[in-house]
Amino acid sequence: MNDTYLGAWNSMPPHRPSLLRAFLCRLTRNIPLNRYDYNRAEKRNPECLVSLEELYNSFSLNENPVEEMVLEELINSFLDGLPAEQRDIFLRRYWCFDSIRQIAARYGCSESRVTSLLFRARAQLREHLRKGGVSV
Amino acid sequence: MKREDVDKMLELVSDEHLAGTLQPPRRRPAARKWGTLAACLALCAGLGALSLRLLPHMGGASCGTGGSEPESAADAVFLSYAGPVFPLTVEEGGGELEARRSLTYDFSAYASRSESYTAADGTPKEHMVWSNELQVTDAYQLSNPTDQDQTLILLYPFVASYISPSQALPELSAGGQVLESELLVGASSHSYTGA
Repeated sequence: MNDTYLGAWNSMPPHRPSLLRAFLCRLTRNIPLNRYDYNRAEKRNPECLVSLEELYNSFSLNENPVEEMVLEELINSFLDGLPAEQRDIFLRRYWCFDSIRQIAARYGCSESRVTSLLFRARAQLREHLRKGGVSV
Repeated sequence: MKREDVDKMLELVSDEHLAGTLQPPRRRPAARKWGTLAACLALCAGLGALSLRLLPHMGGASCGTGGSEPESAADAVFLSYAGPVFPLTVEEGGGELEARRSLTYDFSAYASRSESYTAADGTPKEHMVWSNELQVTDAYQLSNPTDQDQTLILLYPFVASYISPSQALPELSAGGQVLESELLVGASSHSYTGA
């Protein structure tokens, strides 16, 4: 939390976010990601690594880079097309790094339903990226 | 697609999509309702003599949209506020008066709602909008420790825009009855002149 507010203090100004909650959450999210290599080297297993590996494994990743504008358009159009609950669950898992158990408790559903929704969302994302010309 | 592209892709998720996801989980409404009621009752019981209510707009009428649509981003106001809450004052005299003040900020009006709009390509869309009005109850209990009656003219200073002062006009009441009041306009709080 202190890291988040220190980051906010350092970045405002020049940044003037229109949605403070999302801005602070982005800062918070980057803290564990910045420690990604550290965590992996130590063979730790925080939920963010589990979550990201789950997403990586659903694609056939390669060395072909994708332009940032294309990525932005594809991810947001993909999220536009998802039902609200499935979109929230997808973002809680892969953006907020919540565990399956936490998500199930948050939305009042079973863990198997969360797993199933995430599985389908990943498959839909893969298909959406392919249709957008991305090799995955 | 590289592994780094997957990370980048997640970073590029728009605020509009994150808005609903980042909302705190809903709590039991009944508990919150009774908690709020209990707080209000406690306030009314403790400070019944004189109370002043005002509704300053902490920011614009709507704030914190996704930012991807020009019309919503242009309207967004970030962390601006209507000014400080000044204390009740007495026009003259009042030296013998004793006052007890209680300032309460009520954030319960802060709630998100969904608004529909038409995107640049003509498709109807929805986005979340946050109303960030804050209700402030500035309550005073005035007592006269002397044996003599006192007649007072009370002033309640506040800061508002000349364009829409009614949005921030305090509602004055005593013992549950709305008080008659006269609006007096003072000098601008801005330090610059000639603009």
